[in-house]
Amino acid sequence: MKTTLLSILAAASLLLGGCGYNDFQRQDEGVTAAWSEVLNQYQRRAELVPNIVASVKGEANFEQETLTKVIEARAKATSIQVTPELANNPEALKKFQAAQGELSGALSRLLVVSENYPNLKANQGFKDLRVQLEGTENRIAIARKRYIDTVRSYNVLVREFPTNLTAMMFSYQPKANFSVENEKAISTAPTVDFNKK
Amino acid sequence: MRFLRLLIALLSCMASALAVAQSGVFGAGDAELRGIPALKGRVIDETGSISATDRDALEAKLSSIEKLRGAQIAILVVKSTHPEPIADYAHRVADSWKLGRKRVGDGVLIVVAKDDKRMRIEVARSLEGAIPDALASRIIREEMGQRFAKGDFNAGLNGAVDTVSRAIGSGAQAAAGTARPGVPDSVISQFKPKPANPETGYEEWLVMGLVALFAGGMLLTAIFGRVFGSLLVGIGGGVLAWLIAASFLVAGLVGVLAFVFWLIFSALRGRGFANGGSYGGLSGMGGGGGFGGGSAGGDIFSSGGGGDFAGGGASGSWGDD
Repeated sequence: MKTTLLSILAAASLLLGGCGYNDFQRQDEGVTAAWSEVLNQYQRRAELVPNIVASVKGEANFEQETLTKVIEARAKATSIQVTPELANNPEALKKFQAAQGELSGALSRLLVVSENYPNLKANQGFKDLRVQLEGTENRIAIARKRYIDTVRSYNVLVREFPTNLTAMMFSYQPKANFSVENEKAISTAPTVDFNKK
Repeated sequence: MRFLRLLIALLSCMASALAVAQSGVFGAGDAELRGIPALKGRVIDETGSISATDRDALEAKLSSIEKLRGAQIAILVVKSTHPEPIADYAHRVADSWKLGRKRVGDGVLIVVAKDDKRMRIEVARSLEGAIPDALASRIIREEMGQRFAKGDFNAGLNGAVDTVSRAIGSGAQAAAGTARPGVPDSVISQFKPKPANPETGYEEWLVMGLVALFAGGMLLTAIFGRVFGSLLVGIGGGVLAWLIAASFLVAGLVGVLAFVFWLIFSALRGRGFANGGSYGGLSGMGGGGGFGGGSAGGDIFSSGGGGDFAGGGASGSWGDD
């Protein structure tokens, strides 16, 4: 009687371990960590924007439209309530991505436009801000890449046999990932019309 | 018979289709990327821009910095990073070399792409405070860029290394306190294993049994690995519960609980989240190793393997602009 029970227990435990239950725990946590890092870097950028805007405003007759776009895009991006659950909701993630992508576009346009203002270009404070922004964009790219990789391996685990059975049992869903089309839209440099005053 | 032949044909079709799909997917992009050189020394110059004596002096300097400050700095000079931008290439190299001590992760990689006239300082996460991007950019402009433009790579690299070393020195106190700056405390505390909560009314030997189970569990996990060790812990917990409660149901429940708890606990321990003292356990010792790069006088150099490069640093160019 005792041995039967023990062996049943042992078998159950083995099955649980063998069918990737632990992998789910580990990778789920990995995805959460990677997602936090993405948010962290986006947040870092959002905090940088007011400084950039302030230093650009010091430049008289700076192209207002560009500036306004940056301010608006930041407001929009920061207005989205970011929670860890956001990563599980494809719709919300898409919206979040779009808003951040818009800010990316507006900011890189601002940098391109700033090339036209020699005073601004020579300003040490603006130079440093520019470097920080570039660094942040770089960090965002890496954080996104790591997130995409961790989600991919998690999703493989959810869909692959036999771990998909475990996923079904504990109702682990595939997670939403950053989409490629959006990636393209973000990395496309904005077109700038220098003829426009 | 016909059916069998059909089946074989179908299978071979599938196999070849898979093969085609695979070569189509993986054959295209990856081959073009530039390979990552082996980490043979602190200074790797693929272009021959630095003389042997200069390189030895630079290596000695980097080695003494590692002895003094602990941080690992490496220099890589390549012809070009084409087709990638230098930031992507440098990050790939840094990600693969993982410069920096094991649990400190203090590494810096300086990459120079000679023909592209581009350079980058890649800063590991734990040094981002000591070397912010703006400082890295300033080093690139003021130490490296101007001298590189004159073709004096040795002087430029020496200047950069000196400034980086000074920055690490002054930022050392700030970096020393935090082992993992990337993980906020709230996250860490979340992962701390909750202490076993003995039910009231039980004898002391229950506590003793739990302690024994705990100690034994460490040993078992170290010997049999995580899954089997946890399994044994689960069985041990079950037996313990059966002795106390004399009920199979309780014993079974406790056994499963003990198993799951131990599995999670040992997983967290193995990842180093259970910070501080408990890390020195048996499983930690197996994989730990610690200060790999701190050894000897620079002859034997290996990466500490702790550096997490999350994109810190700056890029720049010399020449025309």
